[in-house]
Amino acid sequence: MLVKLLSLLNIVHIVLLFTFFFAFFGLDWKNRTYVYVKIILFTFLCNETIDIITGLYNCGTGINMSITNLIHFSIWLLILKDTARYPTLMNGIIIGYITFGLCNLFFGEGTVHFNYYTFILGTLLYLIVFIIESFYHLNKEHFSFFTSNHYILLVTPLVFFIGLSLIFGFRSRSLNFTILFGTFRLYKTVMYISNAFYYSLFNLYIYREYKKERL
Amino acid sequence: MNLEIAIGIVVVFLLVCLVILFCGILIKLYINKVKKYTEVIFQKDLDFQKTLNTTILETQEQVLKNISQDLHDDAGQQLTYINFQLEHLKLDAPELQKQLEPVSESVVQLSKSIRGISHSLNTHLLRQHDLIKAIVAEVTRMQNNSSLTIDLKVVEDAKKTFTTQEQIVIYRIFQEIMNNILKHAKASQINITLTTTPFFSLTVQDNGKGFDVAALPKSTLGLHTMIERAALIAYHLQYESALNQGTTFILTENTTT
Repeated sequence: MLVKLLSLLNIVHIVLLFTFFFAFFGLDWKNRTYVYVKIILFTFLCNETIDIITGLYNCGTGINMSITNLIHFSIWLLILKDTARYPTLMNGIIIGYITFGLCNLFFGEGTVHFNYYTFILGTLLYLIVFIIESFYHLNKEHFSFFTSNHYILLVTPLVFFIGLSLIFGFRSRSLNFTILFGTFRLYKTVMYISNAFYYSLFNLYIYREYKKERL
Repeated sequence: MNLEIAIGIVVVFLLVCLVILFCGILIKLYINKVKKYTEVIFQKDLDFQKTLNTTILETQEQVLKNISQDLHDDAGQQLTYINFQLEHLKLDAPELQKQLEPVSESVVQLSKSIRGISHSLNTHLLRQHDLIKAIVAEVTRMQNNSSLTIDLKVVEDAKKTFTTQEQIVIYRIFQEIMNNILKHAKASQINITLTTTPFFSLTVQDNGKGFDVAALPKSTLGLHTMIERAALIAYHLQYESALNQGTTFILTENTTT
């Protein structure tokens, strides 16, 4: 059992745990964005824990991953909403996305397998809003927006979303396990690169906010 | 087949990463470039303002110098001539001497006043002698011509050298402050403290009616101009006032660069 547990653990789990505690103790609860950050990390932590437990007993399904992604994308869209010009439109987008995700979960791709379409739609929505907002601020020369910590946070999931969407777009389970070189499978390779970007920027954001709060 | 697709995905993924990185660098470079450009424009604007202020100052000085010379050479000479005529009249008609004596004294007094104003307007003396002496002379002149009590305290532990521009600007600011007090403050007492070392500081405090600083329009009393002039020589002018509690002006040199 212990050997199997150790085989299921990887460097991403350690980094996630570190980031979670850093955010939990480094950021307060007064700021809404900080709460979103903590919820994202907590959701990931719960997902990974469930993943490990189900992995130990070989009873894993895609439902926890699908729900985690639905929450994950919804919160990222909420973070994006804070700087968006049309919050009402963003609310509509978020509600629409959640509705689609739930419909897809119960009536579409189902609860047994991972919901690829929910993930890809989330990525598309996030990228579109992110590009529109960045273009707007660049056009208006709002440089403080690009040099702010909040922008670091907004950039954080980009590589993660794009990288995984490239794989999930094919909807092929066998493709995920294709060996690229040595023991490196496609899914693992992209996952490691994406997570490296994701958690580096997350920690950078938390660190800068932590420093700013204590100035 | 799967391997080819997988490699394709990895390549596209890496390319996307590079594109994101490239966009980030591009935005960063653009921001830096615009910031630098803005700094240059701002510096040019500052330089222009500085040149403009210097030119205005020089023009004003030239106008004051001309008025001073006219007062000294024209009005002063005419008064001397009137006095000369009065002396002649006294000699020609000794019986009128008693009546003419007060007129003669008034003319002499007027002549002295005009000479004083002429010296006050002209910076020639200021350049020849020094700022402290000029301020002391100005205070003496004001004391002679008004019912004000002016208390001047000079603390000059060591001789301080001022540039010509510094001397002129400080002297003119001092005059402007004093004129404002005479015109608007209705004060009966003015306390002036002048310190030269380690840093220059000039404090002028009156017990007049004061004013509400918050309700004061920017252009009033030429305060804005005085502050700008002080900035021109890297000095700082600040003021504190409250209704019926007098006003305090403090002119200091900026000690930080």
